[in-house]
Amino acid sequence: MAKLHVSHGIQLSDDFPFTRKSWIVERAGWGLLIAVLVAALLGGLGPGLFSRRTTASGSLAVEYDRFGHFKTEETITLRLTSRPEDPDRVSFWIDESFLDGVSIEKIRPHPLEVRPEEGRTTFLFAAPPRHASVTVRIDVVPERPGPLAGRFGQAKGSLVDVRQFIYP
Amino acid sequence: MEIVLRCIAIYAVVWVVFRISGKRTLKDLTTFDFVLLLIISECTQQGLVGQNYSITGATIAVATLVTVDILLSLLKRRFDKVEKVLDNVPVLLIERGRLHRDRLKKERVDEADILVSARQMHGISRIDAIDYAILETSGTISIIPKAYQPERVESN
Repeated sequence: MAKLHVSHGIQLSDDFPFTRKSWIVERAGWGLLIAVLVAALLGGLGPGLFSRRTTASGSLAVEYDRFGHFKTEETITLRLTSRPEDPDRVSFWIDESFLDGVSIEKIRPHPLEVRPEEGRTTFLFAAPPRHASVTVRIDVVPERPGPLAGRFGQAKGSLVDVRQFIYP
Repeated sequence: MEIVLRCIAIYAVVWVVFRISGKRTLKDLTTFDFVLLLIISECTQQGLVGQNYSITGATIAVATLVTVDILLSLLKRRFDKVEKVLDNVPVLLIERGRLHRDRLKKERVDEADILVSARQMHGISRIDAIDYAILETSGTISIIPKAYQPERVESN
């Protein structure tokens, strides 16, 4: 309980120097709230205007959000090109360090085969006829807050590093 | 453990937001303000318990929030400074009949707000009939009319 004192002729627990400081902190707080809104709109706190990043290497391109939210679903989009020696199939793999940090909710289209390998999991898809490329969307849910890094790749070829920060 | 940490974090966030929004925010609880409060509580609900729909989860959340509140009330009783920081302090808006316009502006209060309190509590219709107007930490405005002269004590 704040101490009462006689102030300006009445008993009151006011403290004008403290009030002055409070006003300054309040105004700074308003600035902080606006900064949070702007950062959220621009994509600094999750999906936003400039949050998507595309990293490509050879026949593999991965598009993802730089910032994600803990236990909130997000979509990673991959664009894959089939290799000339196997034109009817495309495949990619994701390394364990990434898979350890997320749970995969859905993969569209469904892979023909999911093959666990040492340190990574490979996903195989049928490439559409006459088209050498396919787009795969993976819905993932980050399972822990903090930095999330991993590697996506294709057999005998492209490697793409994915780095995200997952807000709690 | 996760729910406990979530509840402490949300308690802190809600406190910071309402503390920096000022004493008068949501004070005159209009229908819109009431709906806004319901929306805010809905927004925080997911952050508090996540995907946990169990009674145990809800119990942990409620227990954490109430415990934090009790602990802070104990700290406030013990440390004057903590109470000031957490609850803010009252501000004199009218002092011996003199209106502090700078304080009104900073606290986002106008003479009409003071007159509303004066009318409701004392049936006063004029600013010059008010001896003291105090913006309390709760956001209400207390009025001491000139007709009622408190037992003035000399400043120490």
